Amino acid sequence: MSKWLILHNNSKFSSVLKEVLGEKAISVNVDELINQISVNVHLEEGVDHRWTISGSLVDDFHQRIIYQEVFFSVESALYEYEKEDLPYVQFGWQAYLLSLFGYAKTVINPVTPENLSISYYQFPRLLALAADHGFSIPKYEVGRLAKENYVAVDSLWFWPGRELKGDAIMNISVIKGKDVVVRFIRYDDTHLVCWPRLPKKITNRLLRLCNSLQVFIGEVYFKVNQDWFFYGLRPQIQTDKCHKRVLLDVAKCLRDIGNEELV
Amino acid sequence: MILLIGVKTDPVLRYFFDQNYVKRDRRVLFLNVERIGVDIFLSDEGWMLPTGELLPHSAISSVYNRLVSQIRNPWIYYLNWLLDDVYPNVINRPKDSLVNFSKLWQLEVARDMGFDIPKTQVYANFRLKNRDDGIYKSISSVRSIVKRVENNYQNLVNEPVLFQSDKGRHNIRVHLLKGHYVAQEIFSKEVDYRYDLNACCAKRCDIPIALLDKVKQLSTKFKLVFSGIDFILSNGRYYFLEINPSPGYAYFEKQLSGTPISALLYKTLRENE
Repeated sequence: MSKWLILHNNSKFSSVLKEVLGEKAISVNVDELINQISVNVHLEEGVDHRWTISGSLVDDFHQRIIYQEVFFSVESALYEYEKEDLPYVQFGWQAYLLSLFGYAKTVINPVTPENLSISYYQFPRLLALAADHGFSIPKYEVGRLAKENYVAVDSLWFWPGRELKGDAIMNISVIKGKDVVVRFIRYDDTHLVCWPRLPKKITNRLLRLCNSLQVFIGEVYFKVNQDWFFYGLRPQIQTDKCHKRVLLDVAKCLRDIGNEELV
Repeated sequence: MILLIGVKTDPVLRYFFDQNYVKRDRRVLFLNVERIGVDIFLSDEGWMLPTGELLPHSAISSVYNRLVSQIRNPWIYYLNWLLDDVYPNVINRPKDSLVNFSKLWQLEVARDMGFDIPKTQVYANFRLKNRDDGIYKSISSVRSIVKRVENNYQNLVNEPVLFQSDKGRHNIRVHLLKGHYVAQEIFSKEVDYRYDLNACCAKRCDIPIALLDKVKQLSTKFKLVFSGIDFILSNGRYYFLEINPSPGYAYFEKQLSGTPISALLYKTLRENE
């Protein structure tokens, strides 16, 4: 079994994952990371990341699988800093995490300079990728007037039920059918597990899409009639809408990513 | 059409646009992103210009991207996708420019590719035992000012900070554009030459072929068409400091005869016509 590090934001899923991984996993919340853990990195011939957590040394990051939900939560732990310093400190921690994640064995979900791009999970990009992998997709328009049978949204990151709060930027065609939210774990390039189970053809398309995004865990949104229309993907699970039994199954599958004996 | 994308106050964009061969070229259009939603409108069809004319996305052959400001709105986010995935010949794509996000990450990649790097340490929530004679700077692209450790009397580091051994003041700046390079050397008194008003001019110089090959490999790995790479030359060794995907090359070119970097940039932008 691989060594785990859970870098969390006190989410429901991280506590379920901690329960499943047991005492061997190190669990650190974003506040502890930013305000308590002593960090020391030496870069010369090799690279050596060291943390001191409550007097104990952790220095084996290259062997660790990191489940992280802190990269975009850094700001929540910066209450000790002056307002004008916040961007500098936030970027400093994110720059450090980028290096740590590049050094770790596996990071779920990966954070690299490329996937930090603001376009990476944007609706136009995801739909273009989904279409490339064989999915049917809805029509959409950007920067046009509202239209009948289209839903107007104020963001380029779309998921069902997202309310319009500001000025509309995009119209998305409404297709008649059932809304289906699918949670998934991608073990590797050949194996994807979904809740609920999907037709094999859809699972294969989704696996190819997840491979191109290099995402391990997340949610996908479909509108289903005779066909499966792809409406979006998020690289995280919205736990408030997810049954605890599913969260437990997802956490157990995630644990198996680090279990080399199964491979 | 060749788009120059950025803000009016950007001295680099202004400098490039002020070159005669750029200014006179009617295929070159400057789009001030601060005017998007005011008198410039963006849609999936193209750009609606202040003149009322629609410039379709399909008519855009190249882009010089200087989206370096922190403007955040949905139109800029959409523009990022156009620059990342839709427009051809973008110098540089936003997704590739993110290699500037972490200096530590850059140094690790450069070290793995065989560059010499100064002895480097990063600390956070850490009490320094003694102040050595090195320098410290931001680990990210924000507040990227270099200072000497001995001038900082606070021995406690809270947020991550990058510490390096001081390799001297013989700075080498290499601008690389599609395999062509211009190297310049600057001798400064201050540790950060950008803040040394008395620094001697940036004189053109040569660099070893082996170093140039490595610079080209690094630039290719990061998918950068245009980059500015900083080194310190010390005891015959070129110590890699960082690679900048949005180089402020105007400062350096103004100290050369002619405009070799602007001319290369213009030529590269016209290649897709």
